[in-house]
Amino acid sequence: MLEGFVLLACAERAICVAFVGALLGLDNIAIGQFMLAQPAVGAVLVGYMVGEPLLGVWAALTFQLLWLGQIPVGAYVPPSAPITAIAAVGLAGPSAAPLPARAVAAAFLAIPVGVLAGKLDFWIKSRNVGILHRSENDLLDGRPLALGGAVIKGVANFFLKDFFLLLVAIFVGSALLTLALRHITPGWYPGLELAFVISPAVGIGAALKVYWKARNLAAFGVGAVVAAAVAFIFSFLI
Amino acid sequence: MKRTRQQGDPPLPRRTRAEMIIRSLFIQATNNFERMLSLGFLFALWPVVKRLYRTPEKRREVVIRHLSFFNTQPYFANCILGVVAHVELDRGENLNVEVANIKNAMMGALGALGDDLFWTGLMPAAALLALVFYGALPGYALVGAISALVVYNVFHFWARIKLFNVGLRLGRRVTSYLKMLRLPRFAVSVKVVASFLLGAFTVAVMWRAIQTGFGGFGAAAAVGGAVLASVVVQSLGVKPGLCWYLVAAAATVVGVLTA
Repeated sequence: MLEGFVLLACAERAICVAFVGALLGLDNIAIGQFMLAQPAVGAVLVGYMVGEPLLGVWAALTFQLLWLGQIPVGAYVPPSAPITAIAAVGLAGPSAAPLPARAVAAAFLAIPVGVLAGKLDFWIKSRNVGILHRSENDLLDGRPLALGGAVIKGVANFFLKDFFLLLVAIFVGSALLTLALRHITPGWYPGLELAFVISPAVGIGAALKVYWKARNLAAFGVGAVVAAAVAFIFSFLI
Repeated sequence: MKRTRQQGDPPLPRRTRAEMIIRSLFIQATNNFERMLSLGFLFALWPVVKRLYRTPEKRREVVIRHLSFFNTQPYFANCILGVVAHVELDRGENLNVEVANIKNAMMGALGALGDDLFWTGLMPAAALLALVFYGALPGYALVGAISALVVYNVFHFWARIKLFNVGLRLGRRVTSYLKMLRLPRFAVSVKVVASFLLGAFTVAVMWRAIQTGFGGFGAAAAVGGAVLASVVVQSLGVKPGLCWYLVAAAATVVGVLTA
C-alpha cells in the first residue's frame, strides 16, 4: 500500500498539473491557438512547473510529432497530443525510480489519456449544439448578452473537461505507477532507458510519413547532414 | 436612409477593428457539430452589428443571416470576417444571399489552405525548431520554447490581423490579394523547411543516444532503425500510439538483454 505522504504528493501534483494543463489546453481549441498547448511548449512549461524540466522536454520530444498525420475525418477522432504530453509529465509522479523508468511508465498510461481527451473533445462539440440552440433563441428574443454567455460556457466546458480528466488520471495513475515501479527491479532500468532514448523515433517516423515527397526527403537528408557536421565539429571543440 | 461607403472612408474605427480581432480569438469556443464556428463568427462580428443595426428586428435578421453553417481554419476566418463586415457596411441589396455566397465560396478554400499552411506546415516547423534546440541543448529548454512561440505567432498574428484588415478594405476583391500572396507555394516551402529541421532533429536524437551508455553508435543505429520501423509499421496502417507501444516494448527487451 502507499503511504499517506505519497498520496498527498500525488494529489498535490495532480491538482497543480491539472489546473495549469487545463489552462494551456484551452489554447488547443477554445482560445487563440497560440501554440501554447503544443507539447513543444506546454509540456516544457509544465515540466519546469513541477521542477523536472528534462521530463517536460522528453514529453515534448516524444509526443509533439506522434499524431501529426492523424486528421479528424468522419467518426475518427485523433488523440490529443497536448493532453498526452502534459499527462505524461504529471503521471511520472513521486516515485524514487530513475527519470527514464518513470517517464516511459508514465507514457504507457498517458497515451490512453490522450485518446480519451480526443473522444471528450468530440463529446464537448456535441454538447455545444445545445449552447448554439439556446443562444440562438435568446438572440432572436432580443437578448444579445446571450452571445457572450455562450462563449463563456463554451470555454468553461473545454476547461472543465481537461481539468477533471487530468486531475483523475494523474492522481490515480501516478499513485498506481509509484506502486508498480516499486516492483520493478533495477535489472529493467537499462531497457527502460533505451526505450526513453528511442521514444522520439516514433514521432519522427510519423512526421516522415506526412512529408513523404522527394523534395521534402531531400531537405530531410540535407538537414541531417548539416546537423551531423555541426555535431562532429562541436565534439572536437569540447 | 441607405448610405453607401465612399472611397477612402475608414472602414471601421481602430477600436472596433481591435475588438473584432480580439473576439475572433474565441471563434472556436462554441465549436459544434451542427453549425461549427457560426456562433463564434457572429460573436466576432457583433461590434459591427451593434454599430449598424439598432432595432431588435434588424438584429434578428442579422442573427438569422449569420447563424448558418460556417467552418474554416480559425486564423483565415478573420479574412472572411473582414469581407463580411465590408459587405455589411455597404448595406447592399440582397444581403442575405450575398453574405451566404461569400461564406460558402471562401470557407472551403481558405479552410483547406489554412490547414495545410498552419497545421501541417508552420506549427510542426516551429515545434521542430524547439525540438532541435531541446535535442542539442536540453538545459536551455525555455529558450527553445520561446523561439518557437515567437516564430509561429509572427505568422499567426499576421494572418489574423493583416488578412482581416485587407478583407475589410477590399471586400470581395480580397481574392486577388490572396492569389498574389501565393500561399499554397509558401506552404510547400514551409514543409521543406520543416523537413530540413526534422532531419536535424533526427541527428540530435541520435547524438543524445550516443551519449548514453548503450555502446555509442549502436544506440544511434537503434534510433535510426526505430525511425525506419515506425515509417514501415505506420504505412501498414498501425496507429502511431500503438506503434509507440511496440517500439518501447522492443527497446525495453533489447536494453534488458544487452545490458
